[in-house]
Amino acid sequence: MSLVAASRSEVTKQFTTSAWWILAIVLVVYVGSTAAGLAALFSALATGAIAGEAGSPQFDGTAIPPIVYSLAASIGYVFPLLVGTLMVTTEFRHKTLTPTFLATPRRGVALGAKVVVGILMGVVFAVIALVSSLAPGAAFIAGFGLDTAFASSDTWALIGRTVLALVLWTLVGVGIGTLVRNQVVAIVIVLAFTQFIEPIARAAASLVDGLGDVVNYLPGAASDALVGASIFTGLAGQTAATGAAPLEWWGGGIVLAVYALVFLILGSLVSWRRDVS
Amino acid sequence: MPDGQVLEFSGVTKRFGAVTAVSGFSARVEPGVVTGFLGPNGAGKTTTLRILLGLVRASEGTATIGGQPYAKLRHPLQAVGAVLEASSFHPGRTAANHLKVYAQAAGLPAGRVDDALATVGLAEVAGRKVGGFSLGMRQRLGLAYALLGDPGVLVLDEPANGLDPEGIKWMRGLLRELARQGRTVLVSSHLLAEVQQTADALLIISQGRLVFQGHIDELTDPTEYVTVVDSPDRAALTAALREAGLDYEVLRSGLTVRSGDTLDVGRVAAAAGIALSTLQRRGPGLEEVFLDLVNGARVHASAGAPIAGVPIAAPVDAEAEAPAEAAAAPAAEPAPVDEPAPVDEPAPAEEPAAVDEPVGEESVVETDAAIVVEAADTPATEDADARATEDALDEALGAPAATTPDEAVGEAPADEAVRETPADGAPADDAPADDALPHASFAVATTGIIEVIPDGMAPDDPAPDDAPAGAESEPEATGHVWAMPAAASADAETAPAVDETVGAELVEDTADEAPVEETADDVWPPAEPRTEADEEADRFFSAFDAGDGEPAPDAPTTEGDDPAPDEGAGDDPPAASDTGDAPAEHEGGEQR
Repeated sequence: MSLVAASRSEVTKQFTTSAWWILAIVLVVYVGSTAAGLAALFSALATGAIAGEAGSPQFDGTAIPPIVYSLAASIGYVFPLLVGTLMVTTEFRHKTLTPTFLATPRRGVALGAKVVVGILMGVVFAVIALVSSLAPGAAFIAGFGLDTAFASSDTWALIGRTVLALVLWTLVGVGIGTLVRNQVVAIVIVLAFTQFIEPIARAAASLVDGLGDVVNYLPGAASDALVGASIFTGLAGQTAATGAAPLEWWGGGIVLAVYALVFLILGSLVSWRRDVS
Repeated sequence: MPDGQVLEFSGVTKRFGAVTAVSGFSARVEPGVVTGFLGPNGAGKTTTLRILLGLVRASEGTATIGGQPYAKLRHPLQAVGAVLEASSFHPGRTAANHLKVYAQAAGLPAGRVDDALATVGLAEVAGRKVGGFSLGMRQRLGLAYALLGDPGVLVLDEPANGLDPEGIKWMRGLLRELARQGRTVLVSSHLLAEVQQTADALLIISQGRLVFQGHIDELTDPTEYVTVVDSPDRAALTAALREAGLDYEVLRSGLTVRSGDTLDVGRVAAAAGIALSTLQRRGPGLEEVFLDLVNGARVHASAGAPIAGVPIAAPVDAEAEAPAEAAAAPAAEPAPVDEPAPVDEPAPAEEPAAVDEPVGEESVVETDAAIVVEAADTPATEDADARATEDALDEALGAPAATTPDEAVGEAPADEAVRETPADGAPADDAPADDALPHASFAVATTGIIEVIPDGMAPDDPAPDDAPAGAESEPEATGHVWAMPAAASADAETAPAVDETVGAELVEDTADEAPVEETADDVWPPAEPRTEADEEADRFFSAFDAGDGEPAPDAPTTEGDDPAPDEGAGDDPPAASDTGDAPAEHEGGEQR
């Protein structure tokens, strides 16, 4: 009962400030333009409209849809991650935890409501991200006369796993927000890790022996494994260039879920129950 | 309507690392009255309130609401409304949405949002983002949040911060009305003057400890009252008083008569056919009593135990004795208590008239206070050294200073003492001391002694001094010994006096504006008895004014931007706290 009320309140919180639609617009522009550009480029390469240089990866037309569609997760995951982080850090930043905890004195319930609404926001952003990657991507693929693969059940499985991945990312964000508290620090951590540290680590893994096994357990890699396709693994030719086979999709899902759970539990124990002043 | 609950603190202690913010705080807050929760900044008020509300976990002890800790309340917002700080808003959210968020969390119907906004006069700006709100509007929104669940208990932390005078007046009225309805209202403040207008019961906290608990009247002793009388024909007045056997002291602002009733004094003057320019009854300043309690210079029985580190022997009678301490002396004079008291306290909520007045009345009162403080050094010091003399005599007779100072002073028949060493005019002010004024320097010196004694210096220094010396020469000897501290304290006393003067001017400004405010009252029904009818009317009118003109009920909101009165009110407090600093300064030497 109380969790339902707290969740309703949390939903209202999300949609009564502008953060969500600003992030959504950036997501649409970023994922949409990337998907359009890559779909056009890969399709052109695959159809021979642009002559690839000698030695450049030869694109198989059937490999294009999953890579383009999965951009929703592989580059779009930072948005649900930020949404989840902001769900919590905004409360610290604007000291709204005081009224929140006065209305919902049981802190576990208050955090539970954030998890519930985090799942909801993850779904919302997954839908937005998928529309942004599917619509322009499929349009260009179809425009070059290639198969959009919408008839394939694999595509729909990938879409489903993308939703799951983005929901998990939102929960990772809630966990990070709870743990870090400081909004600016949390955003810097999220952006630095997702945009620099992990991509560099994954790139380095193709050069350094043995690093691949470790890198596979980074959240971004786990997410890509869960989705089943990614621009990162896709460009590597889907070979074992990293020196280690990527995790199974369910393995990736479990790893990502463990990140979310660990952050949430740590945040709940270490930070969420602290005095509010 | 929900019933008020008893709030109970028992042994609440909170440590932040090595710092103990609240220590063994036990108190009880009853429904049906406004309880003021006073203490200087950093005394632990906010921490205590946050512990009550489950936001801060107590290291020891419990705080309950109707016997239950906050976290166990089934419907917390419907049971307790709290205003903790004026900044708990997301600036990008509208006022209505802000409240909607918490109405939903508490399972309240959406209609409560509009009701709450209307109650605090923010209905017009419900759709505006909070980021654009003035501090006063935020404070009102905070109050709207507290009222959302129509709770039986209200806990407000410094609710007057940022409100303009009109808003403060409105807030006071609202709080009194809520208490009158049987709710429990606990309001914290660092300003006694603020709480004094509203509160009947008081909790005073200092350094995390409760130093007073009880009715506001219990703070002071009625025997500390004096009558101040003046006439253009002072010679005739003094003659008449002498004839009537009433002792008086000459001050800049008039004659202070300690014996007899104010009525007697008036009668004497009337019988002698003297036209009076002043006839006033004054009690000890609550502000000063408050500061003494906070500084530990005064200990009240209700607090249970004296503040650690302040060696005052007899807490039981301390209240009565306290005036003996020179630090308290200026305090003892400027007491506007009697004026507001009859109006505010007996039946506050029932009489709209009583509510109309606070602002105007307050300014008058405070002006008085300020004037008195200016003049107060004189009687205060006189009083003090009169007692000091007594004291010194007692000591010389062999009583160990450490144990007796309080009692000795307390028992000293002040009036007679005054007669013995009349009007020393210590700070020698401008007292037109035509009648009697010897021993000026000596008076200051003895003041020094008095200030020193209660805090433990006495046993070390003056006592040995005293013992060998004869009773007669005593005061003077000590006078020399203590010349320096005395001078220092004289300075300290002058300082607040100056501040007060500033405050007085500012307040007088406000007072000048009083007529304006009263007209405002005529237009706008006093906030306090805001009945449903009023609110209905407000809504009715605001429907018309939707876009353009400001409807009357929103006057407070819009005037929130008016800086002038705001500053007047804002400056007064610092003046008061300056006064607080001064005694602290010259006591600092004594305490440790």
